[in-house]
Amino acid sequence: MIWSYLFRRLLVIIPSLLLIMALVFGLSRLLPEDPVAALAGLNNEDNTLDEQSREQAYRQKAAILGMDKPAFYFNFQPAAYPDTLYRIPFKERRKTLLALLDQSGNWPATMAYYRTVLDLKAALRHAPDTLAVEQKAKILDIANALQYNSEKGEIEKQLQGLQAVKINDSALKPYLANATNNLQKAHQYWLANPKQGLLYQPSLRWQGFDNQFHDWLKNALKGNLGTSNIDSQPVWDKISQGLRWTLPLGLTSLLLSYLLGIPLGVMAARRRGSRFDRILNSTLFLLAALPSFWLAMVLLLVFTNPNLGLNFVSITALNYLSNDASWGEWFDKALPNLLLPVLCTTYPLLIVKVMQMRSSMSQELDSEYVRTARAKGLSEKTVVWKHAFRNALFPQITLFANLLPHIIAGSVIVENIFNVPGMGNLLFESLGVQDWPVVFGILIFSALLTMLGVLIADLLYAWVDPRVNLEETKTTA
Amino acid sequence: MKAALWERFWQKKATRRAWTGLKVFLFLALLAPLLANERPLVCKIEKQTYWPLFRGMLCDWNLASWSDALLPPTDWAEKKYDWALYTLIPYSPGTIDRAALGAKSPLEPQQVKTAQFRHWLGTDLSGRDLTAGLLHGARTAMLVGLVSMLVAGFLGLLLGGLAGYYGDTGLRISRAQLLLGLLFLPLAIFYGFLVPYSSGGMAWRILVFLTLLICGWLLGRVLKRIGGAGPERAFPIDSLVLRVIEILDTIPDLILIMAIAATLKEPSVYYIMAVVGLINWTRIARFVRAEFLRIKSLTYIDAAKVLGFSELRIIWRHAMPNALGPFLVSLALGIAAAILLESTISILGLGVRADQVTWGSIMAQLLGKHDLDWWLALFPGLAIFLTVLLFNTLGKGVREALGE
Repeated sequence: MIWSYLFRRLLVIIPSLLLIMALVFGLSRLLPEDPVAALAGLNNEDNTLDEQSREQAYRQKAAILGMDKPAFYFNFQPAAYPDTLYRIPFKERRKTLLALLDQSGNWPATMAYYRTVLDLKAALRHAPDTLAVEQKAKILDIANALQYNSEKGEIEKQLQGLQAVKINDSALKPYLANATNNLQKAHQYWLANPKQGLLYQPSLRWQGFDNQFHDWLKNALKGNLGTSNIDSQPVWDKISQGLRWTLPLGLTSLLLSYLLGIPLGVMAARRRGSRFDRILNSTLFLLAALPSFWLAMVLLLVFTNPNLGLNFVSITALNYLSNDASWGEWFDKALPNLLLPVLCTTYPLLIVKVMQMRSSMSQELDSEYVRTARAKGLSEKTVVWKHAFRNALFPQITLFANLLPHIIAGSVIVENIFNVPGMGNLLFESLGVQDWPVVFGILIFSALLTMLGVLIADLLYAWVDPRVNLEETKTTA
Repeated sequence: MKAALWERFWQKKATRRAWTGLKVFLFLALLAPLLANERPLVCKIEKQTYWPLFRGMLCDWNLASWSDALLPPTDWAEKKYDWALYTLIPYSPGTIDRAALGAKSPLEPQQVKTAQFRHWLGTDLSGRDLTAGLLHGARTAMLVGLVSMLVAGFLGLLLGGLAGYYGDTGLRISRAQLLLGLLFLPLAIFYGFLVPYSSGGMAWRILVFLTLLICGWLLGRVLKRIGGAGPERAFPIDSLVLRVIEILDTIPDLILIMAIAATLKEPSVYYIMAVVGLINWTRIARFVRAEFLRIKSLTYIDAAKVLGFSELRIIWRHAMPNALGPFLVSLALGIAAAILLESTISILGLGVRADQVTWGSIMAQLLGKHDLDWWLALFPGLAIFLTVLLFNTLGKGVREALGE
């Protein structure tokens, strides 16, 4: 029974995971910068490569990264758009081309015009240095402006400027006259032959399995989440290094919240309406409105400030702790610095735990069988601990899964403030330096962790409570 | 019944206080530009009277232009006035007081012209008045709650209501309707979001998208009416909505929002809020779904069905008003959660433009700093705490009034 349940659960988890991966992939496509150019080092100011070698370097890097393939299995776009746009190097060029295309709808004409602009630049490069330096510079300015300009009026203005430049120099003329002529002609053609209708016509084209998403998915399923853009370390290595801090931290908070929350919840439920219950309730209500980052910050300010004499916390101690530090060293250096983070991640969990335990215990205490047990004359101790408590505890087992996203989210801010080199801090640092593979790796990993948590919780629940029929969980939903 | 509910809502002292608090919060948030502004309310320059504060508002909306004497409309403290009357706080959130650079404590002696110019709550690291920042932060927080809950409320009410009311078997659609849906949804996406219109912004695109969807729906109804729609099948909308909720709930919101905030070309609190709404509707949908599940089994709904009322009318006029209470509870709690989430993101320095002041961004200045600028942590923290507490109390009040 458990196996068939497990199988059915997996049938749900796998599509969910695929969906999340598609979502993450979609996000990665929205990034403003051009990852290929950035990784090939072509964005640097001091890059002195000429146009042709830049293009070549770009294409090489794109081929290595697999970015010279279509993005997805199919595309759904206006019929005017080409399906091979991904082959054109440089994101800015693709952007300019699309902006030009949006005004005309005629892809061959747009591409032909753009090629003449690039040809003019190539011609300028090959042209010999003559006395007509000024003219050459002027034409180069115009060509550069045209390369990234897509506005009709602005292009017109630049081309009129080009017309005005008279190329008298006989050495320069054979190189440039042709190119400028072609440019003017191609522009005229582009203006005269719009195909606006194609922009409003939907087209759906299949692009095959050899695409970027497919590759990425294949690797991710093999456990290869890619490598960091910054230090080329595998993403998974970086995450697991962070987990060495995040996991113990999260599990400690989870354990503490259970150890403290369950007795408090039971006590409150047994003495409902008493002063203890009221005070506990309002304290938790106030604590729930207290942002954990605020508490973290205030604690940090108080306990690192030498003026107050309470500075037993050092903000950098954890970074200096080597991987193979001895236990004694670890206790001595890390523990005092981990106390505050644990405090800050525990109290939000504790609030949830006490509330849940209080309500489930109250429910049990109000139920028929407890009244029967009392009527039979069983001692209060037996009624509460042997009868009610056991039944109230069962649901708590599964509820740890609901806390997992809280733990991960809580770790981000608390680790950042206390400078714990865990996964949350890794996420924040990676966002700062735009190390996207790491960011997306963490996103997928935390979703996976939550799903596994839910699965384990369901199985545990069935194990402790034989009444639960896993076969029927779905039909009642 | 409504009156009784209201009475029970009023009975608790905490709820009444929270209600007053809500009014104060809204008052401060709405009037922030009038309460804290660097431009004088009235001033006299060379025997001419000007109203720079109101003039400035008209100028911001392009309804008026500045008078020559007031140009340039910056550095208001440097201008020569015959006399000037300022509003309550004579600083805007972005005004830099060069005499109070580098975080001046509220208790320190300050070099100011008159007592009105004192920084009552101190200044931040770049010499901006904290009181003005907090007031405008309240405005941001209000917008945060409003925008995110508008999106989340719409989605949660719609999807949760449909899932709860119809369940897996209640919604019957014919083959023709299914086909129309499969045809019109891609078309709506294409004409709404993929076609490069030369003019018209996001509002126009959303309008096109919705119009096409409604057209498809109407066409389906017409087909059904004339009987050419083919056999009907149950559409498992409940399972579908539950599955989507399950997927969204496995992604930790904070991490997803951080990733989205970092991919945005132009960071803005409003984008973040729309995203918060797009993720947080699941909580509202759960509440509303549970409530609709309960309501649909009540006898008066059966009575309405027997009377032959249309489904839309039953949902809108009969079921919805009863689901309103739980909806309000989840709305109040959702606003509190959104404000917390936004301040968390802005304390990390993501998603907020440098010139936008939020409570979180004021505190963000303290990160990595070792001086004990307590006022920069205390006052914004208190503002967040009180606002979240306010909405939590309101939510709790409604819940208790409903008798849960």
